[in-house]
Amino acid sequence: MTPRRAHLALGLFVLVAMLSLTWPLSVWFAEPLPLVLGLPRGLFTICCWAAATFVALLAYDRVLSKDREQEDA
Amino acid sequence: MSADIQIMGVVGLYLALSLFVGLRAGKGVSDSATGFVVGDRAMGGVLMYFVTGATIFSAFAFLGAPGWAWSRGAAAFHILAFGILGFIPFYFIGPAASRLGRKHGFVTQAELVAARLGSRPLALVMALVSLLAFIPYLALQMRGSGHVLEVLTRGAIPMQWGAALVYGVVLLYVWRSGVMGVGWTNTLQGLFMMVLAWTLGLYLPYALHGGVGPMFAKIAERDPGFLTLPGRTPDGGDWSWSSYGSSVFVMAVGFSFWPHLFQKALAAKSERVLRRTVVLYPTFQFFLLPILFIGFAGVGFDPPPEQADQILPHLLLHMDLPALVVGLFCAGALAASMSSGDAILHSAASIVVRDGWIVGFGRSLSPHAERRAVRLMLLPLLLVSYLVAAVFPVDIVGLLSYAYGPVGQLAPPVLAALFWSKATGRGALVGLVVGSMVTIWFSRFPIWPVHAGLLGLVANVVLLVSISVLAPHWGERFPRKR
Repeated sequence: MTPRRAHLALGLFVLVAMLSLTWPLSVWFAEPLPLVLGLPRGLFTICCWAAATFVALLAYDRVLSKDREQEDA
Repeated sequence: MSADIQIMGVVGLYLALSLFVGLRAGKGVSDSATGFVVGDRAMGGVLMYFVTGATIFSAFAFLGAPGWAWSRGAAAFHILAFGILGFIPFYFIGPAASRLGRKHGFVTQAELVAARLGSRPLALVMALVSLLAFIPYLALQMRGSGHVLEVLTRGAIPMQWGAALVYGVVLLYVWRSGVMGVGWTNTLQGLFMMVLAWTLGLYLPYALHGGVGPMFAKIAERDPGFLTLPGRTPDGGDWSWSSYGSSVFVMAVGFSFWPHLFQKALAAKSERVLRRTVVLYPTFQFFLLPILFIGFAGVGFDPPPEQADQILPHLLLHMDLPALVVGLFCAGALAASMSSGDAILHSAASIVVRDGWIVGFGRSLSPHAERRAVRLMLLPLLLVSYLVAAVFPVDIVGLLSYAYGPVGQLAPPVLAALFWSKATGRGALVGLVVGSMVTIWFSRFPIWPVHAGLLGLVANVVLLVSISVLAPHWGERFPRKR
């Protein structure tokens, strides 16, 4: 993946995550039941966003680090 | 041995260990402001992770968050939500600030912004806004620590004495070791809090409800609305989506711009360390999760606490737990309070001296004299915060949410200084002043159900952009550092 695409992908991810964590998309997980892995659906979804953000940032950082290494070389 | 003595023994051991680590941390750091304020720009990855994580993991996490879960249900989820995205801007602003810090010797956020935009008054106003958020926040940490000691020793140690004892220790290691004292104690405190949070977060739901799943099932069965987003208001009504969403948004925007957190970008060993810290940061949210479990475990507990913030110590006192466990919790809550309080105190002192005296008023000090001035400034700041803590009663998360309003106003000038070459000092100054005033006004007199910081941000950005574009040379008096 090129750095440009990585920027776009991260931007899109942040936008969707922000919408989901604030209002419009989160209405669907507002109801607590049925519990998922013992957690209310809203709390479970927020945890999923935390994990997904970690993975997205990790992937983004890898792409940019490789690009920086190539530039340095 | 009585329970109170055992509790105090555990707390005493914890304070002694923190003091030992904090005092030793300053060895090998230069005798200058750069050494004291940004640790000679040599902070490595482990230290950065714990400094950024534990700095946010404050008294609000151990007392306020369970209080919200217990009293306002799903509304407490927003505490987890804003931290997920809040640190992402740091991936970009951190390395950019670090580069400029090394090039020009900047040690504070306002100093960097003022120099980039060529405006000394901007440094003064940013310092003022920072202090406006810092003093109540520090007072809140002090009150939290004193409160825990008072409740768990059944009044044997009054709040004022407890806060004085804990922050006396903080003063000693910050005075001796500066930011490295903050960093190493935060690492110790962060590890301690993680273990304790998960231990209590799993134990209390198990002891009171038979597990986390059964606990939520029981609450949902009794009152399904309690776990339905966006949760409840303090008086039991439904919180609006606009209030929930705007709180998450404003707190996420303000997150990376807390001056004491931003300052750590100037202390990092390398840009790579900063980027790695941001990548790892969302994992810290998983240590807040068990904190919410603790609050939900108290739902339906009889007798209820007098105040929501007391739910955790209240549960521990009424469950006949061994004094050792109560003492460990007490030490964990103190760790949460100290890990934020020390960073804020240290940062506030450097801001007053560097941004106020040196940049704002254009005075000069030798590196050694500046270090001494920052140290001396710790005393009045601690005293003022202590008086605020002793006199004014505060709701912990409510106060934190208020503090994020003014801090969020620092985002536009910082971003403009780093990434927008057409931004002007006067545009940033007017935007910041008006944005902060709008935030404070609408916090006091709300007209719409949104976080007041959002309205302040809109005013701030509109003024910054329009003045910079329409009057690019207005008020330009000082050279810009690029």
